[in-house]
Amino acid sequence: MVDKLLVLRCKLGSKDALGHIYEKYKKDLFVLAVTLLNETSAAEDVVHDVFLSFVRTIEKFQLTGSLKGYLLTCVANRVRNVNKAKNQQSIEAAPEELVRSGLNEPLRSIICNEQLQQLRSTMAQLPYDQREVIMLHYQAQMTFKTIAKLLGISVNTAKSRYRYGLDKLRLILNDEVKK
Amino acid sequence: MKPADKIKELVNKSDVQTKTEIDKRILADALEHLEKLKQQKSSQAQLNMWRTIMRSRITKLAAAAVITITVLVGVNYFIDSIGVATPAFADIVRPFLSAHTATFKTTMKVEGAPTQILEGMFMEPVHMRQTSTEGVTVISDLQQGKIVTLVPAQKQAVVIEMQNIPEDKDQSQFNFFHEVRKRILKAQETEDESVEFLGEQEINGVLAVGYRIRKYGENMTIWANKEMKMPIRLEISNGPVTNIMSNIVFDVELDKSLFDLKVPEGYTVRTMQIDASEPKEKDLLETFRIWAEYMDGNLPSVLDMNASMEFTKYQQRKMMEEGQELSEQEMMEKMLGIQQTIIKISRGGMFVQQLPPDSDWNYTGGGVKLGQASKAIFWYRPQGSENYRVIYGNLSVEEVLPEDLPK
Repeated sequence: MVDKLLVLRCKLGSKDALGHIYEKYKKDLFVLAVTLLNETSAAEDVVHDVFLSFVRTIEKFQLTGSLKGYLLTCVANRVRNVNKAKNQQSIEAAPEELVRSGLNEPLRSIICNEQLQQLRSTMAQLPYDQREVIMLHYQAQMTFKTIAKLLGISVNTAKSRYRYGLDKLRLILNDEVKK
Repeated sequence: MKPADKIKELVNKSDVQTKTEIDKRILADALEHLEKLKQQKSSQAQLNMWRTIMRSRITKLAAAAVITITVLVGVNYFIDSIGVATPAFADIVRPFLSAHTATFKTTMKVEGAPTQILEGMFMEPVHMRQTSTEGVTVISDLQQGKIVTLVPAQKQAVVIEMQNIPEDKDQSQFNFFHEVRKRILKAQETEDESVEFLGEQEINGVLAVGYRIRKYGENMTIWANKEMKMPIRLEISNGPVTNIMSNIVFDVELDKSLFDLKVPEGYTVRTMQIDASEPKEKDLLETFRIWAEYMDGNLPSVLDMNASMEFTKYQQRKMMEEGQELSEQEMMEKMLGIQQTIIKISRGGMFVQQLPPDSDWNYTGGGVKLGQASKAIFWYRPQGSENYRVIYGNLSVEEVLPEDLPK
């Protein structure tokens, strides 16, 4: 109800309402964007574009579900577009390179806490398709049916990606424990 | 720990800190776009809001309130003094004065809001019935001092009872047709230069002659079929509000039951009382107090029809926002509360408009907050007095000499 009111106020041109929405959901949006991209400056661009797009379409926007879910979906869509543009070069680079690139980002970017650093470095070692499904399931709390619809894949494919991703995570986490 | 649990834990405990400049960078374009949108689409947004109001089941009643308010309050800002008649003018207005009944269409145009069309009926002595395209009907009988608003879609009725009606006081401001008739009579009684001949013009394929009565910022224009000398269009404008009367047919056979004030069975009835006594200075003070209470402590920007519209729009906007969280019942109560408030506020406007031209009234309260004791917000000279009454921002009143008036 509160989100509906915020959206309504945005429609009426309230800058405060837009700022409120940003403050309320920025953490969730950044966690998803950073984990999917493993790059904070690119994550910034994604969140920026999501908000700009949100305002551009605000007049016709109708909130039917949760605003958080909607914005996270926008982030996931935007990340996929970024990846397509990049030809998935950085996403599919060697895991070690990704981890290193993530740690050597310019200081201007957002500051991730220890858990987020660990999450992104762990998830960066998964193929993007698997990482995406796992994050949408855990962070956006989407069902496999919703994820499948969003990604244009079958529910079984979404579940398979999730399962393969978890298998790989088990190996990664076991390796980390051994080290 | 299972990998799924570990990831869940990391997701839950993940956090980010953003520097202010990053927040600004991310939001800057969005906020700029929002501002542009606000500026470019402000008129459209207002229209959309009104359309939303008109469509919404919950707030349809609010629209009904506006219609009632416009019928009640909208016409009472007409100033009493109207000028002269010419023979031709007398000819074309005669049907207004002699008709026992009439039907007409009223088109209400308010800046920033979609046009509202009402189908009106008048029957002597002072019966009136107006129905909007939304199906909301307002029936009034000034002799009984009663106005009934019916909203068939919701089976809701609002009955307004006028109290303290002075015996010698004309209540014609509550009846559009009667108000027009009264003003024409006044125009015929006095002779000055305020009636302007507008010449000839073709209106809907008919050659018409027009007259404009102009005084104190008010405009009343009458166009009549030149050959038949029958009025075909009457237009009254005041600030952001324009009322157009057209499709006028005089002496139509109308069933008296159309003006029956009895609420049909099955309707939920709400009754409100309005004070119809002659407005006094204390009513103006009460208007300022209520206004500030409902408008974040501010006093009206102006004291005319624009003020009434400013208040109505602000309250409708608030109602629409709060309506997201209110039940239909709560919304109805709120709407009635606002309706009653607007009626109370209108008494201050009536007091000002009834002041004679030589009262030399002046309002300077725009931008002043209630409580600012040093700010003179309104002054006027009561009839027969040499001195002025000055109202300050804290609503205290002083009598002052003309030379001591605020500069």
